[in-house]
Amino acid sequence: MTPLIECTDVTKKFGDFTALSRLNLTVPQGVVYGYLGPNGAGKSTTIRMLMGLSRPTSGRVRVLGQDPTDPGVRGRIGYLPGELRLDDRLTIGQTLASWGRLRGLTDTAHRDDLVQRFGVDPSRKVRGLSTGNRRKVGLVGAFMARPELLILDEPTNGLDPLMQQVFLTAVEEARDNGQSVLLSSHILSEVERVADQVAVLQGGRLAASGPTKELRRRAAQRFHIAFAEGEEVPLTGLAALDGASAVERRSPDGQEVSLAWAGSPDALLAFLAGRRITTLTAPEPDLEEAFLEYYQNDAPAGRGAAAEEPAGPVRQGVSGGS
Amino acid sequence: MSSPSSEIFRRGVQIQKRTLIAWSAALVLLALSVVGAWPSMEKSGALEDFASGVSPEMAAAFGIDQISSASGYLKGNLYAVLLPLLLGLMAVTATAALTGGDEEAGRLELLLALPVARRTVFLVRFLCVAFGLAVTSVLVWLSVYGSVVSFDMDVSGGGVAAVTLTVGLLAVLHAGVAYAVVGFGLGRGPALGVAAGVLVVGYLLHAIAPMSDSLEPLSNVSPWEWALGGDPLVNGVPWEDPPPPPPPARRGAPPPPPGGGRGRCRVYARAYPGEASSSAEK
Repeated sequence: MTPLIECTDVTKKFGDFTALSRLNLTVPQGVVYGYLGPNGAGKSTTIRMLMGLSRPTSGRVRVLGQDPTDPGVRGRIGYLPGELRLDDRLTIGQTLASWGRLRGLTDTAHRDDLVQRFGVDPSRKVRGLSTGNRRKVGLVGAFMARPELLILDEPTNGLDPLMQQVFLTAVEEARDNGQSVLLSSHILSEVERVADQVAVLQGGRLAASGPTKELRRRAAQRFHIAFAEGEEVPLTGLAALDGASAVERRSPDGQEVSLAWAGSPDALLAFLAGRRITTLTAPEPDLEEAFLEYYQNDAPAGRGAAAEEPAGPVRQGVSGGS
Repeated sequence: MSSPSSEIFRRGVQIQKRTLIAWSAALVLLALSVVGAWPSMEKSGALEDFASGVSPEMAAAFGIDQISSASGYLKGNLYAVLLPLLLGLMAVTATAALTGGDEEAGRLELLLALPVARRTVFLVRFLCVAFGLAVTSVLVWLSVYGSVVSFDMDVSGGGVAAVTLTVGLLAVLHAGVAYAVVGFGLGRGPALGVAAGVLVVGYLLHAIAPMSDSLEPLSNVSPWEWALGGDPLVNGVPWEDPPPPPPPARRGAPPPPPGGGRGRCRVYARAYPGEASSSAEK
């Protein structure tokens, strides 16, 4: 079976700046694929090439087995651009009708259903819509023709949590319906629930790719531990644990420690079991932290140097991107 | 026209509706005020005073060398410079905005991601500009023609139609220049610059080059010369190629002595013998 998306050694340069460097990416059919990376990592650059909106400097892009600059292929794809520009002069209804005519869409039942679910008012003018509301219009436009492939660039940007749920449900339905979805994000948790597979892009290079669960397991999770008053803070003990990294006090003499942990937290919990702690929190990891390891491999400073400087490792990892 | 193309056309016209209305209103107003001033100008003889103060070469350059006749008045105040220049600017700015401008601003992103070919989108948008120019030209033509009839000016209706057509086509040509620059991937800024440059340089070659014998052949490369050199207001559309040389005998008279072949100058030379002698002997 031909893969839905196949990028072979794709490089994209803008002048001297290399936005993508020898990217190899294969997206099989019938999956939801998460395309992750910090801002400026090259996600939108890739996606624009997938839509035939720009051409690679070198390498080959195939979507649905064909060159995406062929308009016939684009008819089978629903696209939501990262930077969505709608025509301010139209109403939402006119906008959707115009896209429908350009697509040759005749069955509007699904569209009307989506309009209702996303809570979009077709009679409203596009001018004056908030970012989130514009995004909803774009999402209805991408989903309405039930395309074989959906390519969504930062789809949840600006959506409130309720609408994010509506969106994720729509993605799951699309997958159940046999459609495939590529969605980009810089926030892992957004993608995690629906994505079967993910690729992590950093500084124009593929840092990691594979099934979401596996990557999630390998990815680091940050823990904050507050030790009880008077309890000795076992910094070296924690740092010696297999799986711990970036161990640091949150304040010079405080009782709070923060660390990044990769893999199952069993060993960490066992280590902490004999000690008095007041709180143990594990905030929802953002992508930068979750993939700290990947980023650090790229960063000039090693793990040891980074550990001495609070919040340093994360920044270092991201700096190359944006 | 298949359905996506007509949709793109409709949207393109919708996008430029407001600028189109503004341009049309401005140009119609210009035409009406120019033609509307004719009766009083004709009576007062102010035009002859005006033209007599300018050397014949300059007068020819600005198209005011026959300004005291009805057709000369129309040429000098409307068709020789102002209308072609403004309509040309309208063509250039509209083309650059609708193609390169919209793409650079990301407004074509969704459209180009839909199942329509890139060249269809651009070609149809060019047609939108041509359509806008046609609408404006027709409105200008109607207002001039209506005024000409109501003031009983000595100008043929066919001539007004012909010169409006050639001026409209001149504008379409410059839209094409801007379109070509965008087509080479150079974007909105260069498209504006190059096309406006062609417009202005074309005017200069058409207007200034005939003043010097060594530069005169250059006027033939000017689109303005193609559109207006045959004097369509008087002679109709120059269907033949090359355009018929007479009455503007500038290129017609075979061995043009200095100042020679300026038949039109003599029109007022006769009216003002004192000044005519000085200009005729130059």
